[in-house]
Amino acid sequence: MKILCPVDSAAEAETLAGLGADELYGGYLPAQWTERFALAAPPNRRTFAEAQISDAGELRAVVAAAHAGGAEFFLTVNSPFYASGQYPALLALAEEALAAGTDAFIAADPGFILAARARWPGVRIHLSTLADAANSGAAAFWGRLGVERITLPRHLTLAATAALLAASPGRRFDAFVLYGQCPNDEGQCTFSHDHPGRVWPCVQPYTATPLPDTPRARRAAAAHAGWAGLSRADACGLCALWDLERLGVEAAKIVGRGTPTGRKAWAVTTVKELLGIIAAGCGREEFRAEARRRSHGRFAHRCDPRLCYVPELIPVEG
Amino acid sequence: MERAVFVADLDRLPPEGEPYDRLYLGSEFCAWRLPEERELQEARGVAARRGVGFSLVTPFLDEPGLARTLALVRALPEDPATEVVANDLGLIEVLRGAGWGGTVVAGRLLTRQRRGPGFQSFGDVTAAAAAALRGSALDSPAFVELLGSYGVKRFELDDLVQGASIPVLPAGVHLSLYRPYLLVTATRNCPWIFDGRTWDRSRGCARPCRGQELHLVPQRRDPEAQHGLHLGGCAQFLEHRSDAPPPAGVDRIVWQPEIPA
Repeated sequence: MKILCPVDSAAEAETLAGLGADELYGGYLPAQWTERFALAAPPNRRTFAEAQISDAGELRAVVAAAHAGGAEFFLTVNSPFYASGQYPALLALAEEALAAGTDAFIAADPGFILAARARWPGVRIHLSTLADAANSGAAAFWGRLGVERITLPRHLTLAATAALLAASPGRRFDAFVLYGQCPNDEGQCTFSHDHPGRVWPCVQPYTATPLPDTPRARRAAAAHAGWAGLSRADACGLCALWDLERLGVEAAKIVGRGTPTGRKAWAVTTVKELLGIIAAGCGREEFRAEARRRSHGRFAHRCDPRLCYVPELIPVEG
Repeated sequence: MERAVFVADLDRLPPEGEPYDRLYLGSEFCAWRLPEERELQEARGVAARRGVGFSLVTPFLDEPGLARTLALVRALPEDPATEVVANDLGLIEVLRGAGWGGTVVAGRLLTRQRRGPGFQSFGDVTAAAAAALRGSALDSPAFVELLGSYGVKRFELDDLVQGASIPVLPAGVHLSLYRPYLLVTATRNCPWIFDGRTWDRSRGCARPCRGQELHLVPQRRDPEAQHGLHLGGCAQFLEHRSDAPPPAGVDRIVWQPEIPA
């Protein structure tokens, strides 16, 4: 299984490739785009500057550093759609990225994918999780558009993932294993994530009034309130690696564009070591225990279902 | 202008005497929230007795959800008068592959749009940015043509608070506009079934969310946070009531008497 890791700078690309990341992905937001369209309608699903490579020179340097380290570089252009006035700027951005040596695009908009495939025959496209392709019909639909790999939605259970892969022979999939879990299905979420203080609507506190006021509705209100203030960034799915590897998932994807290099480095190192343990023949339960041990050593929380990619694997206490 | 009424359950229908031309029944966000086959046939009977059209609304789908939804679609008569509103490209792919003979509509989740609270408070942005905030996937002629090749001739949209911009579409393409609730976000982490440990519904779901909602008011007090939300099932809706004439090209209003959850 490959390791697919976010990257924000050339120096970081060198570090992460050196640690064992096989593939790196990043976003590119030239100043002209921001001036024209504001951050409300970005070319990718991140709206803060730290998560963006901001000029063509840096983009070329990132790609060169990735390649020098033996890694591929994918550019994220994963807005779920683009307005008609954005396509010329988007295609210009993509052209610049290809000229810089970008190996593939991670995209979600059929309009962009169709335009890219028409303009650059053979261009490699990976489907973003924002396209929410969670069934074999969707995999076939995107395959028909020339999509090479599909990033699975964050919320699929292992059983749903297994069913999808079994029904999609020959298709290739990536799965998230660390950081950045969302309360909502990212592919269906239209919340604006551009508050300057990075206060996301999905995890801000709400006053919830049950209508009607029933015990069941009060329980639902409590469940919803549980998301408020959570550090979603610390989500983990390491214990699923054993199953994902057996299922044939191609890459373990790490979230975290715009986060510190040390955080990404820990993720790459840990996933690489865990994949090594799997390769050495470790059994499933033993592996899960080891993965949890590493997770608990890193994060302040124990296994919290809201911060877990596979809550069905959380052991039942007592 | 055709007027459809969208409800999640038959007991939520508007009172007798309220006029409408088409009944929408189903769920956009949860395969477990779809009607049972018996309820589906009952709804078709109600529509037939009232002399109105019938549309089954279907959600985004994982693999088990696709199987469940296909079983329900196959219980419908296979003719052009039967309409399925698809909110998953995989369902469209499978129905076309099977040569299904009913009418497939691209539901509002497939046309994308920036619906969330916050997009209305951008204030001074460039004209290009404002246009982007009002856009949808229909801005790509290639997307419209692609789904047209699957036989999709109707696309559905939400009535955005900031205004919905609709491009010139090919002849024969029809548009629906949903009012007054915008579907802002949805999740598979359903608060109605969370047992403190997991949301796993592999053993089925008794639909405990039926007939209930949570009204969510942000505790923050900045301008972006002034819009309350309605949480029903595992989706959140933003209310936007407007009597403005729909944009050109819209020939069906999908009226939601309450959140369709």
